[in-house]
Amino acid sequence: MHQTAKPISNPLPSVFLRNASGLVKAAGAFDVFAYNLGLSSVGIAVVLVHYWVPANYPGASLPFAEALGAVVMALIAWAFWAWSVTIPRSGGIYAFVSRGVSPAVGFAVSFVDSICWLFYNALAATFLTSVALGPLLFAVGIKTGNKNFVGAAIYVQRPLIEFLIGTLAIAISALVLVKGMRTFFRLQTALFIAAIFGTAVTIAILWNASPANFHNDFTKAIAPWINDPGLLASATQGSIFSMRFTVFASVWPILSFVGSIFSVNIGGEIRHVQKSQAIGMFGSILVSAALMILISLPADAVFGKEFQSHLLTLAGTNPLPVTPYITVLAAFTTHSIIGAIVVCVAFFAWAFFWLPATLVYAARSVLAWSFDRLTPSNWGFVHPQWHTPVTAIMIVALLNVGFLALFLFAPFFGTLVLVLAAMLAWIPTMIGAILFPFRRKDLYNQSYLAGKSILGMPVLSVAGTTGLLATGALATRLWNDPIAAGHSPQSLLTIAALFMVGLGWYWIAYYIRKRQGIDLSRAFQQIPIE
Amino acid sequence: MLYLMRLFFATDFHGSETCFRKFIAAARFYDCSALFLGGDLAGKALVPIWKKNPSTWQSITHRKVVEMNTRGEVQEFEKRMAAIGNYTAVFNEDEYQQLTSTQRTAILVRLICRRMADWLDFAADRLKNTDIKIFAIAGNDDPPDLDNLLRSSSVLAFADGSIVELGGDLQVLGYGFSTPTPWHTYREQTDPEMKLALERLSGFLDHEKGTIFHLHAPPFGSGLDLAPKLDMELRPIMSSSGPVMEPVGSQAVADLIKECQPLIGLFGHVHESRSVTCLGKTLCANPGSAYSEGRLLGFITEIANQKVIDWQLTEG
Repeated sequence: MHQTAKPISNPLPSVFLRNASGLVKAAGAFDVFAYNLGLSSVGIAVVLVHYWVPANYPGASLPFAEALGAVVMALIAWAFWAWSVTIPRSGGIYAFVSRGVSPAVGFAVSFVDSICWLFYNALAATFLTSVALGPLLFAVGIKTGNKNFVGAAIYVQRPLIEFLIGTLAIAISALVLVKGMRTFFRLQTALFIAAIFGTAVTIAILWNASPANFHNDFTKAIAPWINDPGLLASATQGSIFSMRFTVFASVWPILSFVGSIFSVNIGGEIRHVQKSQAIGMFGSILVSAALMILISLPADAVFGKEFQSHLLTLAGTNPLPVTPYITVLAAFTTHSIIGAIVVCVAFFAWAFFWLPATLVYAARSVLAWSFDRLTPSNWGFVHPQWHTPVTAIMIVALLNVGFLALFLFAPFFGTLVLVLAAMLAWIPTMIGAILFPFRRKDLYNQSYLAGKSILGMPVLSVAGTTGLLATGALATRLWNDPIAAGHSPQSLLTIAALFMVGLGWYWIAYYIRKRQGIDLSRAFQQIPIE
Repeated sequence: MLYLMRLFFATDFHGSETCFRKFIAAARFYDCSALFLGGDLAGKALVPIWKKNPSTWQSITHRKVVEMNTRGEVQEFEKRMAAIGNYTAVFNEDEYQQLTSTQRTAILVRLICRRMADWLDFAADRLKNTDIKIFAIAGNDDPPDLDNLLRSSSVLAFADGSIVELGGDLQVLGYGFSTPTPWHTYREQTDPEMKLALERLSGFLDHEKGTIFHLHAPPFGSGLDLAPKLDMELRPIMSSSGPVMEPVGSQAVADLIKECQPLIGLFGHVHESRSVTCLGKTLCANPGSAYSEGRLLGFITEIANQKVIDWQLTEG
């Protein structure tokens, strides 16, 4: 049978669809693109990149690292794209791995993945104050000469206040989700518009800023808290480009681009899945990278690479009222108070955007586990009036508040870096992609990719191999990079413990259910066609 | 005496040959004593195959032209289309183009009935010498032409619009209508109309027996009825966490469950709302549907002495 590559032309007969329900009920390419772009959180990425990279990767070019990171993420996204067109269903890696590899591994991977993103959601909750509110109050205080604002900036960054603000934000997010998707939709739309508008304003401010004015204003603003003014004076020269450190630095933007593959979780709800997922995934990587580059290019020119490389030392050796994140720097590139507020609000919106979206992500997993009888049945309770999975939302929200408390008050927890765990959770997904066309020929041969090959290998296997290599390279870099992740014993033990808890959970649930007369493996077994 | 009964329920096959064959196999695979077949058995699409020349046929799939050079290839293509619920027919190229929408619908309905007849023969053959019975209802997408076929089958109890005995002091109340949809399908009723029909039907229930509701429309606001909210052009409205969902079930069904408190409620209609919940004492399930991928989504439950022992969602 020969399938031509050319699309059908009008004179040819077309498939006739009778009037039947549910013919059109899937998201389009733009919807998927907006979904992924929002979760890529350009704002958080820019903050982290400009604070951590210049100091630790001497000579790294941020725009180049961001472009390189986008290419690596595109290779990983290709594997997720191939998975989602092969199994076009919602549920993400839990669906892929539990069906493609094994239910136990699928649950463990999903468990680790959910815990990791809830952990980073706690970090995003602290960013509300450290990246946005604190800098906003500080900038307004300095620009208006009102010391109360500066005092308030310092006050809101106390761990207890940071915890209360973070908890309030998580509670609002959870309540909005409990209230229903319509309320959530409105909130997310408002935050997304604020984030995009504020980012555009930030870019415009940075492109029109004068380096001399910035250094003058910024130095003057933080002078009362500086022990060594020479540090800033010596920090305006350029540095020599290093390809090696640029490559190393590219892991930082990738941590943001991860959001671009989150549409695998809604794969079952997407129309023309192959086209929409491609535009959604690769388009969001491209636009995220472009936005980051558009900020990094003028930021490097205005602030200076050398200056940015001293920010960590500056914060470490001086009792600054705020951490000198890019929000603080950008707020001092303009004399306009409104401009400074818009910059900070944009970053607030990017950070806040993450909170409910990640809670939804984790709550969906809890719901899926509940339906597979891996958790108590009442975890899947849906409120009769609001039609939302209230118990699942509350569980993940409470867990999130717990992580926030540990993050702020338990020194051990603050040193953990779990991003490696999230990357490791992808590896079974990639291996599953390589093996799926051979292990589950019945399913693969019915998919869009059936019969399509590259160098004689099924496309899903090739994409899985490429994704595995890219994920492996990323995991290796994270392993060897003590700044981005590293492999401190406490982090490794925590990651191992998480996987063990996930596997242990599955097997304990398996035996409990077996005693109750339920065979959990039955839920995933393929029925032979008579 | 403990009378344990294991039931398997699946729904919304929409013509998928693979799903139906798996459904019949599920009886043995899950060791079930009864099969419950939900509505929307009929598929939606007619895929034309046209003769390009005496030894070449063409068709379309995934918006691309498929060329076939032997009858074997044509049969293979037809099998592939049937697996995912589509119907095929060979036409002359011009003949198909000249058919009106009404004529195409008539052809499609004939093909739907033919496939259903084949399914019933297949089921009768596979389930002969067993005590397994299929309890079926139609769905809002099923043309009325199917009813006589389903009613006349020996292997199947057509429970739509009636109450049938299951055995073991259990009875089944079946109803295949849904609330109005944007597509104006065959079996739609407003909630007041459905309330009237369901109340009339439930008047015949034997209150000494355990009851299973086998209804196509899920209860409103139960979480079994969440479908993507659509805009004026029937496109889903998206939020940052996916499509905005809204309840589309029937309030009449929800009220009847509250009033009658049956043992179990089995529902379908909303493919994306795979879920299990309790409404009062009633365990309600919508296993969802993934017919277009040939995946059989199902629900197993065990009943003993008019009590639900346990349940499980399956995917096979």
